[in-house]
Amino acid sequence: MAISYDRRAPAGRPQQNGASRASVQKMGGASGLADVLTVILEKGIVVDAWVRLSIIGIEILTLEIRAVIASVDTYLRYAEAIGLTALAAAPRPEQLGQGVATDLLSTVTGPSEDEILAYLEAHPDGVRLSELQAYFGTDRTRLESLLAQMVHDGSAQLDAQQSLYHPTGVQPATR
Amino acid sequence: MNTLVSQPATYVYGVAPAEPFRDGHPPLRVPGIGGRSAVRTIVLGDLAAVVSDVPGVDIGLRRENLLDHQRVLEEVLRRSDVLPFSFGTVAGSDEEVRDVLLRDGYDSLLDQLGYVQGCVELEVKVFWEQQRLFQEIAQENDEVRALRDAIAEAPDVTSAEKLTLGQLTEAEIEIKSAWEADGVLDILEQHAVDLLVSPNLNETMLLNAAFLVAREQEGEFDGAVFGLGEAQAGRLIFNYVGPLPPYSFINLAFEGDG
Repeated sequence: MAISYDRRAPAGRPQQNGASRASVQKMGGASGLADVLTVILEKGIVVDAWVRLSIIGIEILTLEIRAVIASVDTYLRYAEAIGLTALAAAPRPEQLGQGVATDLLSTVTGPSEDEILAYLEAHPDGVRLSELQAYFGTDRTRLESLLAQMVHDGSAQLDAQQSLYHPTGVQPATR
Repeated sequence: MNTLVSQPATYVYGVAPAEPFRDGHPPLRVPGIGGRSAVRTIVLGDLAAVVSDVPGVDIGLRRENLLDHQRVLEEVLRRSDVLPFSFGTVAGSDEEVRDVLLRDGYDSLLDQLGYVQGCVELEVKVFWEQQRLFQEIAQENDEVRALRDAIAEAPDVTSAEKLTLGQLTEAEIEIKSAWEADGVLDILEQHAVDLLVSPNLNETMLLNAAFLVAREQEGEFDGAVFGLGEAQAGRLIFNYVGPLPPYSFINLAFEGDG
């Protein structure tokens, strides 16, 4: 058996959408998953002859992540962002670098509808978005769009007055 | 994506020194991938492979499975050093793990374990606060500022001018990013045994680094990262993850043709 040095190119990840933090938090477990995804998938020991059953998905994912954007499009977006600095009350520029790779990343690192539904069903009195965000350690935008889809599909309902999400079929507790 | 394992097979999480897993030590109390099979060890000499059985388990690339893989390794890491496997590695049988991995790779694995002995991996990713980045560039670079103002005043600006502004901006981002990355590395590398800098693949990312840090230095390293985060608050964003098994400091790939 031959043992060779691993020359696979290391990869980073696109920036997550979301609010900035004033101070640093050390993340682990679910909250840090998105940050260490490429490490878990691409680093560590590999035995070529052994099956990596999920390899197809991994290749697509890392290809997308590796797609470095260096194009006219980028320059135009930079120009746009710099242009905004001229305005007195400049609106926050759109997050750069959002695209297919980030969507794929969220698909893998974010919770599925089933997971969210299971959590809602375990908490029939209703759950706030912030609670789901803390539990799943994922970004708010993605959770919001998933929940909106679930409400639209009828698998979940939103009590807009109290900002509580419920599983369908469970009436909010009235007191 | 569903990837159901139908045949008997052995999922491999990593390789550790055998001592903390020999008879008399408590078993690993953490669910294996798929949340079903018990995590156990296959021991040969001074090495232990951490594995679980996977028939009937979906080990596809899903969040829960990634977390299961990660949690098993975190549990092992609490007890001993460990060389992690990439996610999703499945051997045909326990015998294959013993023969192809532990027996044929014995010396290399021991060498690698010696290298990472007593160490964990800490990951630091640093991003620009975008609005601040562009503000600084406009303030610091006269050419950028002049072109920005010219474009703002011209109603029918050509895209060629916008492209020039974008190119100037990109060059400035590169210079500023390299400068900040050097500053962060200078401080953090003092507390690390080794480090690996990976390419930035996002436009506002300025550092993507993994550090191999002795366990007894971890608190010190934490302090250094938190200190940087406070000093740069509102300007740079630090994503700090760990402790992880030393994924980035393993240089082993087995062809496994034996």
